[in-house]
Amino acid sequence: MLTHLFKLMWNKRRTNSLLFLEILLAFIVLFGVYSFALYNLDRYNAPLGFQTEHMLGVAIDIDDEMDSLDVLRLQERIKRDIRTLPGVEDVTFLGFVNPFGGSTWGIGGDDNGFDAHVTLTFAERDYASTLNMKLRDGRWFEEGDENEKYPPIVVNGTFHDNFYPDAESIVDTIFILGSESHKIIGVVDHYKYHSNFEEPYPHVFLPPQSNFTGEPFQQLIVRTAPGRTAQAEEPLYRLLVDATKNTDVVIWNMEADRKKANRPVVIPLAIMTIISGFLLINIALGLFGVLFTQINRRRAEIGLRKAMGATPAAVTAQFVGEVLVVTVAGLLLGTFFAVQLPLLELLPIPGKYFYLGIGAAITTILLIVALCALIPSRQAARLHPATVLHEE
Amino acid sequence: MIKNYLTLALKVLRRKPFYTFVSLFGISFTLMILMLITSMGDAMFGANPPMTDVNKMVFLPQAERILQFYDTTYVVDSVRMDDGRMRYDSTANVREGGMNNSTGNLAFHFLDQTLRGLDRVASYTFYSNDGFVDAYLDGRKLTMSTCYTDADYWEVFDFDFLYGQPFTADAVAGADKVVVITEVVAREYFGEVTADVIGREIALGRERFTVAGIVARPYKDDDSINGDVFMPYTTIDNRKLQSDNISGPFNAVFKAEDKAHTAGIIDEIHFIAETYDMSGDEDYEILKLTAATATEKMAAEIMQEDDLRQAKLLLFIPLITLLTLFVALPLINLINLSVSRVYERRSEIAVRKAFGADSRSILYQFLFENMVLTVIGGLIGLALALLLIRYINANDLLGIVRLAFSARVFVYFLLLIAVFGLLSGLLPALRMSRTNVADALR
Repeated sequence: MLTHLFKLMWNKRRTNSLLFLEILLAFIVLFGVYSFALYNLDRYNAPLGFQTEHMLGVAIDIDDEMDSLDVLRLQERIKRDIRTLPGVEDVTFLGFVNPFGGSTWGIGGDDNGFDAHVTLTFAERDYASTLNMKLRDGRWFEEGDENEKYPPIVVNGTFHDNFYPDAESIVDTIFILGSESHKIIGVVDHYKYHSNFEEPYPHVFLPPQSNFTGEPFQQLIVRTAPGRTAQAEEPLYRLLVDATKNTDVVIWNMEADRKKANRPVVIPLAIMTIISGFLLINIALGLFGVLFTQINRRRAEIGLRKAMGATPAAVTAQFVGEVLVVTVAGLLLGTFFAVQLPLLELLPIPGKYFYLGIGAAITTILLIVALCALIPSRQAARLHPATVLHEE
Repeated sequence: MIKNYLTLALKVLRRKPFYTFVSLFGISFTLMILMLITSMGDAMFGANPPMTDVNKMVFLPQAERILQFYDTTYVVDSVRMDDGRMRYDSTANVREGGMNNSTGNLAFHFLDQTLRGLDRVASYTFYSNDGFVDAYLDGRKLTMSTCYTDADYWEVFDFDFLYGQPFTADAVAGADKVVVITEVVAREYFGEVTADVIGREIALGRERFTVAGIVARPYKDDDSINGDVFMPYTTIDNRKLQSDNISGPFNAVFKAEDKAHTAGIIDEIHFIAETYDMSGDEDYEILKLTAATATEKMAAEIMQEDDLRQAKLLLFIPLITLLTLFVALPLINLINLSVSRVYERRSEIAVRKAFGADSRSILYQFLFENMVLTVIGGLIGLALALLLIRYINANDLLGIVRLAFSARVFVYFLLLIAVFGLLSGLLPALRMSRTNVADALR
């Protein structure tokens, strides 16, 4: 039966070549869209690890001439004053790299006996409480940490899982960072600070005393009460302009910033989904039209087969089978190209998503083709042999 | 003749509404997307105001300072000679090792000293536009991006002044507190875009500026023109102006006398960088200035790639592949549909042929018929694209940039329709024209 169908299709290879090409291209497009979407959906579902709603980010400019003790006093005063503003719940300073700010600081080396590259955030005591971060082990920075023999660091879960996969707990482990020894005092659950779509990466929080840049922390994060975020901005701006005697004060909404950071993925994904949706509808309609004319042209053949005793189901099965042979051939060639991506590791994305993408694309196309073939075939199969044979 | 073809084509279209609908659906949607892409491409790469002379422009988006480390490897070859003595050959191989680098914009002082008076430059400007300033109006925040620049800026870029005029060289020299604002800022801050706004004061940070002019929104997407408020560079923080570092917040744009001279200007800037005396810089030894044309700069920005040629390839190859795939599918779908319908018209073609029509006239007829279909689909697509462009402009989906619908874009659209019609009609028409008379008449 199958060889018979195959032979039939091969005999009409010129007519079928266009259908074959169409299926192949549709598969490639769908495979790409599905793989990209599935990969990013998985990324998106992993939690950020901190709160972004009702949060404000602030950048200020502290006078370069000020000596470090004065800077510390100024920072303490700013924090105290901000806490008294109406609607403000908590505030913290941080340095250089802020969530969704787009910049990354990294440091790496093999001082620990293995290659370890980590990204960095400079944070202070109030950081975890202001951003509502959850620790899965140990504790956050506390007062008195400055007197420790080794400067303390807090790391993220990915750091633990990647570098010490077998250890029950890595609290109190000494970790060498940029040729200086640090003691790990805590592990936070997650910290995805670039966007919701970021790959988990080993991350280290450094306390203010490890700030090697010589520049003070000039960014703040303010948590406000729900619904009071917008009103808090203007008094905050005036307070900071007065405190720093500088109008270089920029305030942004962290939730808006998060959405903006997601845009490079969300916008292409939305455009791709809309366009591939349109392509699918287009292909389905076109295929339906093509099969309809092709099957109608073979009315005499249907009549003859039915007169010889074929059931409507057998006729339907034959037409659907014919189309599926061409479709499967197109899908096989497409799959051959598609599996090269994970096999040759051409892209830095785990192979699992490509295989899922192949599966999803095949299922979608088979469903559409089967549906488009089924309707005209069933209509044709119901023809009465007497009427059709009479036409000829 | 044409009239006959047209009547026939329309009749055929009406006879099978389902097939007409399927074809039109594919054509109109595909052409709509292509038109939108053309329009966006025109905003990105086209010569639109205020960058009508974009092809003559050379941009200096960034400077890189480098400290190169070298690894020296000594290789000593020992050879035992025939007479038993040893001979030693040593070679030293110096290879580039690691390097420290710092990339960023330039300081005004440096630009002022080294990049004035280049050959074949008609006009040039230095500007700093990486800052923001907030204004609070009854508790509502208005964030504006600032552009500190000189009077020549208005010479290089042909902004459309709705009201007022640009600030003058005198105003720049005197550090006058004057500002040119966009129509968006005028509407947001003053609530109106009228001549009355000129001469009124606007509070930017702690200072108050007098509005000198209002400019229309740009038809071009480029970060050298996307400021909201433009002020004389002399009003910028004095520390930034005086700094004798190389890096600072300023960029430069040079407008050549002619398009052909841009390559020469780029070379001259690279030469200045190579021969620049870096002894004053304690951290770095080499200076690289990245001078680029608009397209190169755009590709480098989008792809985050420093090598300009590489950036262009990285941007355009995937883009063109994607576009081809996107156009190929509906095209094949349409061809497939038409080819399978050749059968329906067999008897008609056979009769025409029997009465003496040659294959060529049949080919033309079906190409024409297909063109009629494509033009109808194209018009629907055009209407949809216009609605979308208007929606995008009205909701500021692309920031301050407006998508234009100019005569040039319209010509692009017509070309698109013609190419699409020809491509989708050729194969089916060829098949039709080759119909065998004897078989078909039977």
